[in-house]
Amino acid sequence: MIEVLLTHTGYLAGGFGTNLLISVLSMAMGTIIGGALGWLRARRILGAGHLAHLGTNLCRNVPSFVLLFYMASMIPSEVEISGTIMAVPLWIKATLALTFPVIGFTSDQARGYFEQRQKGLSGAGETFGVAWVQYFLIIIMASATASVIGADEIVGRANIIISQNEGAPFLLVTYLYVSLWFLASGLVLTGLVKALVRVR
Amino acid sequence: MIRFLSVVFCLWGQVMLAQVQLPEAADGRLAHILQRGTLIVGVKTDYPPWGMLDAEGNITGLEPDLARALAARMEVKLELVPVTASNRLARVNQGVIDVVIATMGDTVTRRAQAGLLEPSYYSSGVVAYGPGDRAHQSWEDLRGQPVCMTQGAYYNRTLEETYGVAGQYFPANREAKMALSFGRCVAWAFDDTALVQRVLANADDPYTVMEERILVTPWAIAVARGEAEATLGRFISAMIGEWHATGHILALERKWQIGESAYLQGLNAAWAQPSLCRGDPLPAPCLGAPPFPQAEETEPPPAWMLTLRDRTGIDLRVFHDAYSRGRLMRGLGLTLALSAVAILGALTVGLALGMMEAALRGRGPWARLLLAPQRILVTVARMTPPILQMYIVFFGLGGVLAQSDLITPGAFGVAALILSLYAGSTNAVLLSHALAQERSTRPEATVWALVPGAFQRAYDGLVAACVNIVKAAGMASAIALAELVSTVNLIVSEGGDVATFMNGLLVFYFLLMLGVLWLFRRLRGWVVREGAR
Repeated sequence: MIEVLLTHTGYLAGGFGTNLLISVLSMAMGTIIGGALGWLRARRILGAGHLAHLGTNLCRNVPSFVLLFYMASMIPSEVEISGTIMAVPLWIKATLALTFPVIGFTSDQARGYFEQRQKGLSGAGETFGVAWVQYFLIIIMASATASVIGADEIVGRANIIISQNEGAPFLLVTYLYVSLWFLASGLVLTGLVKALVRVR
Repeated sequence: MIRFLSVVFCLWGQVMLAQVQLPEAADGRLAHILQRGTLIVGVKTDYPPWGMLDAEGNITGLEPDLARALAARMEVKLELVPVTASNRLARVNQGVIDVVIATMGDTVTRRAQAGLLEPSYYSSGVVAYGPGDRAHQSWEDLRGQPVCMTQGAYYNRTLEETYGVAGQYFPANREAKMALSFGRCVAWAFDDTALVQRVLANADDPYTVMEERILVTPWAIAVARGEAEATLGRFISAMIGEWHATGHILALERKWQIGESAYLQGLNAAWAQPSLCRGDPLPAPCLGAPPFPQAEETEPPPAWMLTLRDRTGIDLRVFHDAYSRGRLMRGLGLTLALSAVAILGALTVGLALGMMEAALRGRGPWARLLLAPQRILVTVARMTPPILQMYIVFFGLGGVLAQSDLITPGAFGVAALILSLYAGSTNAVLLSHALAQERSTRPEATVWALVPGAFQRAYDGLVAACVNIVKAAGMASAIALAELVSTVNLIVSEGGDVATFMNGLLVFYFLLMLGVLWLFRRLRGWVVREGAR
């Protein structure tokens, strides 16, 4: 059983790469957009601040699990670029779905950060950084749900391996092994936060 | 389409060896496929030997062979994409795949959802598969019993409504079989074709299938809505006719050691007569069995639903059907109940573990030893995806408990437990930090006295974690909990309007979150008042 898993480790690692790619891209896009919304809200710019607040509410309150299905059914699966038909990979749809909650989160955090800066309070950057990395962890965990729309990530790949080797013990061992990948990445991230805090 | 077929086969009758050719002027999807140079076909991977994975992970089987024959005749490359019963029609209508050849029963309902092609190419009925020592020989034996089912099968509704079984829905065959072996249901209701093969292939397993096969239905190849009448649909229909005439599918049955089926022999006999299968429409013996009929509709939907759909595109006709309305209401109830239990659970777990940490931290080696399991639980619960945790506890721990005499937790219990632990461990971290900060301001106070202050300090984080858990509740669909997200997906897969339901789901969750946030503000107000006393 373990040998079968070891032979598939490279395959699973490739899938986990997709999980990380989805997480990093959605964190990056969400942070940029959410940061801008948070700045608008902190500045209380007439009109724009209210609009940013509404946008944040929308992003914050809609589950990524629902957005996954939303993106899967609402975004076209192929686009034509100068005569060549290109497939829109499912991981891009998953990335877009996960970007929304990041926008909501970053907007709230960034508003707090800018307000603390305006008041001249210290430690605003550290609070933002720690919360951001914690949220990154949540997004990595959420990327495991991308398999429900058929994205080729680690849980989807684990399901393929399991369907080739039927049996309850194999299912359990495979899922536990996949869990270890997530656990390891979580520990690395948390370690980074601790190091970050210690440096400061 | 039929005229096209009859021309092809009229010519073919005269020049016996002529093959179906691609039309010269391809339109719609066929033109798109030829431009792309690849035919993308959705097939099953969990339905041996019709569609399965080989040792190298390649998709093989009878239906992939049919897909290969289509691509070869089109002179394009072939890409096979795994699909399931609940997503295959959505995928073809979304344009992710061009053609579905995935053991799909031909039903009147599905004919309204996508382009189902005639003639049919196979047929199956439904049987129950279960432990041989508890043989259920007829469907009457299963009335009122929990029966595992695979989401998206055409007979699920009839089995519930007419045969009175209590359906437990799983997203794929693997989960349904796993749930059966762990005693989550007394039998698994599925296609006789797949289950008979499963019994033959696993002679050592203690499982049998019942003799009584019901709701027999032909299988259809499908293209996207509107494509059946275009060149793609006409070409594939002609190919199916050619396969029947030449006995190609019978030969594939022999290749995959299924044994020749009487249904295909009948179609082969009909198509082998050059004068029979022509005309518009084709005579019944050339088409195979008629499609599975639609569930009886009591009366047409009210006029305002039709007006609303025509004016705004919002299609609420599903609500007119009592069965679907009932499922949606149950799904809504389950989602609200699971959210409430998970929030209470997450706050309780967070408070208990957070107070434990605050009370024991810095109290020497014994306290550290006591804290170790708490720390491991918090770390593991936070750093493994909840969807994996649900699989592991539901199938793994559930399996161990099912073999003992202890009570096996149901899907609701498992989902509530996992969600409570997942959010609860985040809450524990937040609360223990907040308690430590409170402690630094009031060193002599008891841990309990510090809780209101700590709650206010950690308020934003606690709310975020609890809101997160309500949002994650949809994951419980992976372990057969028919909550709202899975019910909506099921209804969309059965032909509900995608835009109406997806947007409706977004609006529902938006309002639910506003409600949860409002409740938390009330809770904070109460804690502040209590703390001030």
